[in-house]
Amino acid sequence: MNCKRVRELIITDYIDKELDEKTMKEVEAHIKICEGCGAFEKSLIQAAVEPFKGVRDINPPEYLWRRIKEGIERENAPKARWMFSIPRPVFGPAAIAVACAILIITLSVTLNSKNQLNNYIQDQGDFLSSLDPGSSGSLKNSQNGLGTTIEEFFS
Amino acid sequence: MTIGISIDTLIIQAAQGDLKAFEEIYNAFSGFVYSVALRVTNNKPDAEEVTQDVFMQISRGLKNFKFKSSFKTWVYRITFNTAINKYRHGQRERNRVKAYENEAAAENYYNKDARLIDEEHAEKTVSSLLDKLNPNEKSAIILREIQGLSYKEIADALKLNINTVRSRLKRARESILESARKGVIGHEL
Repeated sequence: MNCKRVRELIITDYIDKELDEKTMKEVEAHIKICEGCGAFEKSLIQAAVEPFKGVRDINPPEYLWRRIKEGIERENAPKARWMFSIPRPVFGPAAIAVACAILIITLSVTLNSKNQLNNYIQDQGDFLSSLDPGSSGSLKNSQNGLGTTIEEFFS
Repeated sequence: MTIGISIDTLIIQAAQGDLKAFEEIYNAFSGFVYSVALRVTNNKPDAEEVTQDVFMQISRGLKNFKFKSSFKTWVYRITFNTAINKYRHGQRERNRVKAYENEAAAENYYNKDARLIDEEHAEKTVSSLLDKLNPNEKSAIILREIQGLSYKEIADALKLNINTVRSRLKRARESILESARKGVIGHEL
């Protein structure tokens, strides 16, 4: 086994004790006689293995469990789903009924406002006619003339 | 992780909505989940968010847990996936919070006893080593060096083949060795 292969094994399977017994012994034997590979093993352990030895799991802050518990309770709480508890076949006729109601309301409002406009014009016409003393009080009568001196002159 | 009742019983009870059983599961695994989250994201607010997210996923997934794989492996997988996603999406924010935490740690340094200071020093060394690695290498090293998992267990937890685990560990250790040679790690501490 050459140094390149030994170092490849040292950095992974050897250091992690994943090698079979035979290969393990071969690597160990090589390290004993090869200064370079021995130094490589030492520096690897020092830099990449030892620092992790004293490290332990860190517990999360206590309030975190309360937050998680609240989240789970919120998710498991029965939701207000009355909208979706209505059977689906009802949705079609209900939509048609709502559309009809909207149409009727719109039409009635439009017609009402047309009547109001006609009444307003009529009222205004009557009012203007009433301002003229020669008029009979109706716009219809004014079509036959207003009975003024100038009209009589040209007639 | 020592649990009085068997983990399988707790899983069944928690899946039926027993919050007390779920709390037992939380007590058994929260240290691991939070530590991984903290080491991958490198800041406390993100680690808390990841831990919360992981346990919410566990809570939702318990009903469908089939006991085909080990519960521990399943938790490992959810934890690493969630933590790595968080790390990838929060790089800028991470740097800002880390700077703030370093200042706060420096302020508290003189009020702590020797044991705590040693632990914090060890934690900082590890944090500095892990900082040199990408998320995939980080995951492999954490599972191997801190959790003590075998290559097969790491492969199962991360859904990889053993050779990928081996090559990630190799690259991770090469990076750490390289940084040590340059003296980068020593200077940062």
